[in-house]
Amino acid sequence: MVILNESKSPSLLSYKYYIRPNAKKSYGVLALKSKHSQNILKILRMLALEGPLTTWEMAKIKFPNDMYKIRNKEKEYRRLLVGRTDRGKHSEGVIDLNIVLIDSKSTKRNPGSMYRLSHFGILYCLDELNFTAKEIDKLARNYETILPLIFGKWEFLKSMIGDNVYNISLLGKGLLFDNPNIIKIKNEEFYELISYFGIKSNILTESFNEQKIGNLISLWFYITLLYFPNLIEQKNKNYLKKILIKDLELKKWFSDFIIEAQIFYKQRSKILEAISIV
Amino acid sequence: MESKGTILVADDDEAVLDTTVTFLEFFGYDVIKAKNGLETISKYKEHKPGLVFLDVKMPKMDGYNTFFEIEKDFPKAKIIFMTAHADYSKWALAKSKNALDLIEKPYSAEKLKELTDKFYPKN
Repeated sequence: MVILNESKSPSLLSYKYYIRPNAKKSYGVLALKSKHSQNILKILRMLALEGPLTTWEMAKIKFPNDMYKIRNKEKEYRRLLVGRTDRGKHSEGVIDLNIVLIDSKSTKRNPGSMYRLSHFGILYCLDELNFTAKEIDKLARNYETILPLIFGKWEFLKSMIGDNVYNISLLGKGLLFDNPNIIKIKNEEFYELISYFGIKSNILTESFNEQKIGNLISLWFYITLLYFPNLIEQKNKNYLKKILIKDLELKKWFSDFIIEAQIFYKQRSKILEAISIV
Repeated sequence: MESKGTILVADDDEAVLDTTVTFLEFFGYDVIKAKNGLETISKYKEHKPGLVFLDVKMPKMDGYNTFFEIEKDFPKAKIIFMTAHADYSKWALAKSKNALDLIEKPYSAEKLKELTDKFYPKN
């Protein structure tokens, strides 16, 4: 069972400006094709497509029947995940970059830490690993507890909006719409909602945990349904409305977000109205 | 998804470059990046992209001179300029040599889509 981590987590802005660029530099397209970076990408792929695993289980995927090789590989994987301290010097593992985290302790025959992708790990894998649609479906099944409002409703969403579900990969690329100097947004509804999303992301900076990050990713996903499909398709389809009509849980959740935005802007407007300089 | 073709985007501002690339990939193109004029010329020669988005103000060689260099060897090169500084200094000359358009930053994703549909539609 996947358990949401309650400890403090970085923000989506940290993902865009720190985690993703550093992961790309260390393991991604910007890294030399070293064995180290290839092994890290293999681990990420396994965690994405198989779900949470112990290092023993990861090694067993590679060498199903060779105990000696499993033991060696397991040590190597653990070192790549948690890093290594040698003569007082710590070399960072993937966990230090908040891409992978320890989910729980396995109580199976070979007990050990159970590793899984963090929210940022999911986003990074969507960006870096060139998944096929089927692989993204698998990732969604494995991480439905982590992103219940998206992956937990994956098949329903696919039936409503088709391939537009895969647009979540664009968040993996860091497309947060946080800089209007770069991309002009014509769609007014989308502009207001994504702008408030940006403000909300910053308001929460001090108190993120996995649930809040998951909530923000979900908000991004549903808000951008007002935007991406209409860039491609000729007819202006309101996919968001279509989904909210069918799913009352999502409707309540998204309506609360809109009400929150309305209250926020009303309060800001009152402040502006009260300015009596002119 | 089958690629619609290859586009080269040249801009020294990494944020602009990344965002533009993300949208063009979303529209179904393979995208190559360059961060200065000289790199643009060498990547153009290597990949011969079907369309180029070229920033006017770039290090090593500015966008206009980059265009003139490419145009010497590839007179049919399809190039669209992008500018954040309303730099139209050599636009008339570039246009006379078949530059396609000059757009001002920030631009919208809709504008990118309109330009790619117009100048580099799916084969």
